Amino acid sequence: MNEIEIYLKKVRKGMRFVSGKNKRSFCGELGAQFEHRGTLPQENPVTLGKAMRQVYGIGMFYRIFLIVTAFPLGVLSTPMIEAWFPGVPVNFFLLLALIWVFLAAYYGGRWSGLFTGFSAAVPRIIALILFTFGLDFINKFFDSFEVSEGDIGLVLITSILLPIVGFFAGGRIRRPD
Amino acid sequence: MARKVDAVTELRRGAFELALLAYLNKEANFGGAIIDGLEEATAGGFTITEGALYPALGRLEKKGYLKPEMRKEIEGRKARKYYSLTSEGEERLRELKDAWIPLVEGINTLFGDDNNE
Repeated sequence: MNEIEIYLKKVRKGMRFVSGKNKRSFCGELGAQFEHRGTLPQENPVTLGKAMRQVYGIGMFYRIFLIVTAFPLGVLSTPMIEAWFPGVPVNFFLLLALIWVFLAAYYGGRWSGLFTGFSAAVPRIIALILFTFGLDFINKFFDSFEVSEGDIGLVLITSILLPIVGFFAGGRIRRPD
Repeated sequence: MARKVDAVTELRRGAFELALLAYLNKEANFGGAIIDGLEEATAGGFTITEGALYPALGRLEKKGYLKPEMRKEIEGRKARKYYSLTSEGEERLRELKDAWIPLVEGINTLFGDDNNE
């Protein structure tokens, strides 16, 4: 392995989670530059790779992964789930969903943040509708299960906030140097 | 996350986009040649590294200001990615230039007063 191959290997390491197409394109560009100048870039390869990851964002596969996995986190963060599974740490899962949304926003940009937020919010909104408008139906299975207005308000606000936070955080924190 | 940067870095960062667009408006070029060319064209005013150049090129390309084109000029060597300005890039350049010139003239007038003292 020659010096440029070693350098590009480290650049690819810095560009972890970026789509293969973008990685190949950028490494090809650096390889062509090496042929032109005959010297390696002065920049630390991992730092350069990370800077390019900030520009390209993570690949589509990882964005979809974050969006899909946000859904079960949304389910587990719904207080009403205690009707079925008492003792579920809903606040912990809500915090995890929020971290998920920030991760998607930071590495994938504002649209990833928005969709990940939506994915986490949808099961919460469904639960909210069921437990407000369909409480009679729910109580066919449970004896007089009740949800306080405070809980409903909290679920509604946090659910609306998840995609909003994702969208705006994505715009704010993806600022490459 | 955004790092804490000093005023000089901010100044250079702000002018960098303008310098890059102005340089590429004169001639389409590729990464390594842009580094050398920009330094030469600005009489050493802009010495940049790959770490600053490539993310900047990537951002400007994503914004639609730059159009990349692969050119294989020497047989047996890798194709190079040449960057040139799009019509949006030309528009952006005009916009930045219109803001830049009165700013520099104003600051230079201030410096002129200092130099006379």
